[in-house]
Amino acid sequence: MATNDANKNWRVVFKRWFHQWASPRFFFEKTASWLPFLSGMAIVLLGIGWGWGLFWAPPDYQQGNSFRLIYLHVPAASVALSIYALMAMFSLVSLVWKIKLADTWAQSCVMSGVLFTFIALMTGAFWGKPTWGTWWQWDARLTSMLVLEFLFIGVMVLRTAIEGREAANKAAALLAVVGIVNLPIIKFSVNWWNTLHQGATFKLTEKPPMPAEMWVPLLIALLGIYFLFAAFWLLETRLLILQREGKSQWLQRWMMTRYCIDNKDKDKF
Amino acid sequence: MYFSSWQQALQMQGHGMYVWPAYLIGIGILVVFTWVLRSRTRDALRKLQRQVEPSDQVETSDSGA
Amino acid sequence: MTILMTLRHLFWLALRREGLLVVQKSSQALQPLLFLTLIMALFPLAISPDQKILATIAAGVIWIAVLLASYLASDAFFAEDWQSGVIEQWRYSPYPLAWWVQIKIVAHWMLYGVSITLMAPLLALLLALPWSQVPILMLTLFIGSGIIAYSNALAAALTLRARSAAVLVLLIALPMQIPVVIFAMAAINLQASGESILAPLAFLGGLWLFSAALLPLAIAMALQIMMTA
Repeated sequence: MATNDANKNWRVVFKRWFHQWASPRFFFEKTASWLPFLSGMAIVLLGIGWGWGLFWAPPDYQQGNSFRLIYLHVPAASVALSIYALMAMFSLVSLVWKIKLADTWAQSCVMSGVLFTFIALMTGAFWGKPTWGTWWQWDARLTSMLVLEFLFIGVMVLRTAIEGREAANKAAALLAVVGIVNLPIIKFSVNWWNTLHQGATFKLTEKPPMPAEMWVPLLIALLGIYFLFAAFWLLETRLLILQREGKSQWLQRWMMTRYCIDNKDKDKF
Repeated sequence: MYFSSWQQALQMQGHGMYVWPAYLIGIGILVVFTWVLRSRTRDALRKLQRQVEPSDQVETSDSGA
Repeated sequence: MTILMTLRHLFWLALRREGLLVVQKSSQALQPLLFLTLIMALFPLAISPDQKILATIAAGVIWIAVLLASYLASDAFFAEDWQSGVIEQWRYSPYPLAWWVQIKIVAHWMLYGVSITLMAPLLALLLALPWSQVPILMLTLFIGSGIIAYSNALAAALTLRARSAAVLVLLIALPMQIPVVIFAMAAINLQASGESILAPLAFLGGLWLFSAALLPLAIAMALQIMMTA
């Protein structure tokens, strides 16, 4: 019986935790102070990672200095894929449990996803020119990344094209969920079609095939870009809450207290 | 530092013309996106403030810039 | 048993309705097929009338043209039923929405998929595709158009209330159809080089089953969203 009780307790705690975070007010008030930390971490980590990678890391014995693009290319590609998965997860939560805030979370992933995917493609082109001798190569990974960009743009455009906010949000959420089911199929078929690209840089089970002074900055830059995305995501989510909850009392009261406390810094967020 | 001078770091033995523009464009995109999000947040805050402002204090509302 | 009978009855009724609609608006319904033939004329003009060059690109060109023609038709896939309130009636009928969607898609496939497959030899003739490749082209077009019908229907359902649907349909449906094009073309190319075509055909069949089983549910959900939200 004791284990049953503990189990029940845990479920109650989890349910309360979940419902608290799904409330725009709780989310808005709790995350008020997070942004400086996230953006600070992003700037510091990216500064170290990119500075180290660009100026101190040794060049690759085959690719020379062009390999320094890895410190932007790989983190951007990695975070773009994670963003799609995150967006689909939030969309699923919003569709299944009808949680409005989850939809806002999903929506604030989209633009970052479009941009990070674009950065991955763009740096890939700049890297491809000195390495393969061409700006664009129809190899499996580049093609999958291009498709990912189309998927992101599809979700983004669908939301703006549909009249009626609720229908637009739900349709975009459905498209994101269908997309995440499709993505492995697309990736598999594209791989089957053509493979020319080098393998993944990091594998969880193996030591990276490069010296530490090359992969440590990469790891730092990778971490930094995830912090950067977290900062973007939080900023956009809070912006959307500001725009959507304008009529709710708690937000008006929050604005009122801010307005009374310091009139000077009211543009700060 | 791997390079012996800034000049060399800029050139990267001929690869600088690929590496630096890619980083510049990438960082530029991220900076512009940050700026867009911040300015949109500022607009939303201002709009909300206009909403909650008592009507007799309207004359103080132009200090938003 | 009786339920099965009614479902079959329902299927034939719906199929007859789709067929009647096509006959009624035959000029509109024939547009995609006309479009398909017109595109064929562009390739020799733009690339080369040389039979050898045409033969190498023919299968791919036909597949791309079929895809483009399918978008042309799918833009208005649900629009008519939506405006006339038929979809609203599906919702209140005793059968699940997904079943109606399934019937409509299969009916659409039987009309367009079959006519495109039957047109394939003519298109192959225009582009000098070797006759030995025509049967496999027809087979991939037949299965492929079945898969395409599902993803186009999803795009059509999602964009029912969108302001400018035409490009959006393409943007939603095209990424989902990349695997179809890849496996169809792989089957044609492997057959041309005398290798086994089992693997790509198996993948195509799997994709068809997967789409037929899951996409009607997603489409029904999209229609539900468009009606209620």
